[in-house]
Amino acid sequence: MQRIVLLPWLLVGVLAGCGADDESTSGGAAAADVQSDTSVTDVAGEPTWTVTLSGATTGPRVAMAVDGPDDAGTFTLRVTLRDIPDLFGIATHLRYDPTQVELVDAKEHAVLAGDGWAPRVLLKPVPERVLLGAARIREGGSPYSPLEGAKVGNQLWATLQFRLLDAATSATIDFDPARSIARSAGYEVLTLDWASVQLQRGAAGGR
Amino acid sequence: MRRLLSSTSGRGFALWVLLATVATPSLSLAAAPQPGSPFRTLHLPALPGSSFAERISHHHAEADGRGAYGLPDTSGLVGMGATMAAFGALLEQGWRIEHQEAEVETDAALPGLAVAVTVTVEALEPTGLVQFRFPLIDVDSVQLPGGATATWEYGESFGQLGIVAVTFDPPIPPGDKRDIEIRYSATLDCNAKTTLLRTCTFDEQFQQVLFFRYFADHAKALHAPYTSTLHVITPAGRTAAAPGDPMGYEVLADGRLRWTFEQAERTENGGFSIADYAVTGTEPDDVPGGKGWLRLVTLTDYAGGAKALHSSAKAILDYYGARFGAFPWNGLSLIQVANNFGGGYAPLSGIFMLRNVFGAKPQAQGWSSWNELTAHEIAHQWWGNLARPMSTGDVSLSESLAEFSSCIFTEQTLETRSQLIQDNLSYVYTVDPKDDRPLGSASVYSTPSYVPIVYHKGAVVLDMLRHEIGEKAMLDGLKIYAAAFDRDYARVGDLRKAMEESAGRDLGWFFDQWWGGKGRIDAEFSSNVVAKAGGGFEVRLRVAQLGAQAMRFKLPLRLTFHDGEVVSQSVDVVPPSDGTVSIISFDVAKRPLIVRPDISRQLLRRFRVVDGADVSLDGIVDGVDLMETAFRFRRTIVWKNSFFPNSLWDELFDSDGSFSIDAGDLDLIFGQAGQVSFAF
Repeated sequence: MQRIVLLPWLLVGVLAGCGADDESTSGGAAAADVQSDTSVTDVAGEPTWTVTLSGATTGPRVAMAVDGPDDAGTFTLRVTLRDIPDLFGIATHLRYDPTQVELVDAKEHAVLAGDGWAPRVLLKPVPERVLLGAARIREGGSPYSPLEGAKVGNQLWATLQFRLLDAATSATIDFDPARSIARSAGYEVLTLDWASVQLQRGAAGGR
Repeated sequence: MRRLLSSTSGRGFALWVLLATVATPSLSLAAAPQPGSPFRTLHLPALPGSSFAERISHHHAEADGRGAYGLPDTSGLVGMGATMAAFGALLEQGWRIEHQEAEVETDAALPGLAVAVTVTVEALEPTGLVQFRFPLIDVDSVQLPGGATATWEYGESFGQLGIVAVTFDPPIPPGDKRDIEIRYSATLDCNAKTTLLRTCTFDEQFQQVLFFRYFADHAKALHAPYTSTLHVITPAGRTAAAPGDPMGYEVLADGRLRWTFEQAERTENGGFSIADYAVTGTEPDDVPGGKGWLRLVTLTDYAGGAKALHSSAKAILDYYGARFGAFPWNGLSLIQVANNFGGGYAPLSGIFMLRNVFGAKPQAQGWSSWNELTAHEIAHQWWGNLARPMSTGDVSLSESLAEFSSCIFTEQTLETRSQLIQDNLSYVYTVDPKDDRPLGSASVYSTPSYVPIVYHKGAVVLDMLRHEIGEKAMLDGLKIYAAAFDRDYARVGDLRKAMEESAGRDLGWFFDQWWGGKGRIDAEFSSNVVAKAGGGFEVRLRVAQLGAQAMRFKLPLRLTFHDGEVVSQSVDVVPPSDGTVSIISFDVAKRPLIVRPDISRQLLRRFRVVDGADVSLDGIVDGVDLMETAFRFRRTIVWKNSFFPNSLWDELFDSDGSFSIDAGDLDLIFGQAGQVSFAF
């Protein structure tokens, strides 16, 4: 795994496409398969937070992107499904430490759509976690005809808004690996890379 | 002995699937909750023309009576008498039938028969009166060849049985034999509705008489099997077929043919058919061990195409011979009869099956159904003919064992459990509790659910026994049982003893539960997965049984982990003596995401999850439940108002009990998302 320190403007550029729902693109390959993207938020008069994203940048994956935190310590986390050629259903628990951050808002987005399929997306905040799920629901035809998975290029699954608590020093938001699973239409368990994000009070480069 | 064509499997199933691809199911359920149970029975109006409705309709018909006569059992010999019978009593009737020789002529116009049957009886004690039981007949004469004197009379019992009584004065001394020749004629009702399968057919292709007893039955003995010689008179150019060894024919003075069949084995079952038959497949090594011939008796234009059936039947014989013991007879005839017969019938050494079975082609539509039928009927050579059920309460020793044998054959050769699963669903979903009877009950014949209980539940119960004691012990037990009751009559308890011998343990609880009691497993699950202090997890399952009787069973579980690893294991569910709730606990290294009970439907059961939505049984309602339900969305056990048995159905995902996995079940998941299973 490589660690790369990115300038803030570069990070924004990387994140810019995360909201797009692009069934046709499979995402561009980055120079490295796995990396951590670290940004430094330096707000005048406020402590600086270092945001480190970990995870693969190519291949089937559940990616994260972060906007912020802002002056109030609020940041937005976007969860996207990336480059999964045959995805029928997916489920996970997103974990966070409630002593460091609070969940302010959570919104799910339609994923896995397709002709003849009405996707359902589950998003349910529970203490310390956000339960996430998505699956294709057959709209018509025979319930015994073959299932079809979605070809996922880049689909926004959830947008979550957190606020760093005043006493917070660091916060990790990740997917509970033991609660994370994805299946193809053939009911095979897919191997995905599940991203994580860490927020650390203090400048990465010192200030 | 008989099995109706399972039209919901094989071709029928393929048809269902085909139809299902072009039509949206339209459900109209008339099910009402059973008091005290969340599980409901399907009460579906019969769908005219539906293959399953037709199948059930015939089953109801047979349940009216013993079936072999096409008559209700009013003799008292079956039923009340059977429950009291013991093998020793069979020979305490004072005399027995040693042999019968019958000559049968058909009258297609009536239709009817003219029969001359000579019954050789042996006195076991001084015998002044012998009585024979027939269907209703017109007796022309009763004579004693050789100058012996006797008087006779004919009477009818309850307007449905004919009794020929012959009085000897002086009585026949013990050890002496007498021949009694009875000549009679009878009119046949081939449209009889009281039998599972058509009693007879007379059409341009076939003259078949399968369930009219032209031989004489001992009127007092529960079982009085005999050796026999059957002569069938046919027009020139026609061929007769019957069980037993075919001895050829002679040409009568008027040009007709007189065919002869020798049945060297003692049996009470028979039947014959006349058609433009060709006999093929008479290589002497067809039957395992080279003991005899596997003959295919088909219409001449089916002779070439029936090779596939011949190969299949040979494979079935090989399969059974290796597991149940060597094929016991001199040979076996598979005889083609009219399609309107509706299924198969398997007397000793001869099997009658409907016409289309003989035209089946591998991989073509219907092939699996025909294989199931053929395998069921061939299994009767062991179950029902070699080892015979003592009484109606032991009918599972014939029909359940034959169906189970067919299921394990198709499971192995066709690589599908669909036959077992369809049998399972048939009982579980269609038998109304008021019609249910214990599998070992003498009254099982009197219920309209006779077939779902004896054939379908019976096969599944035997399959559960296989899983309980293991494949080897099961097959060893069957071999022990077949050897111990070779040409003999057995009770269910005898099968139990054989299984206990092979398994090396007491199985009384299993037989008491499944043969002595009614019902199925009705269970509600809830689950906790608890992280252990020292690492790893404890999986706790709470199994609450809701049926009238809490069942003991071996529960297969399949655990799926996040990394795709799958672990299968079984746990014993033993309800406490004073309750119905069992707590099962076991440790695993990783947290399971999905705990699936009985994924391949080995158990005769209806399962549900407490509160419905945690179908993955990992202790929390979450996205996994959504995903797993999505894979099964819109599957149903009802289609167009008709029961639709399919191996992809699992009511565990039908959280709202609507007989369909639908939006209501998704609503439950979304409504309960985040809910954690209660601690126990």
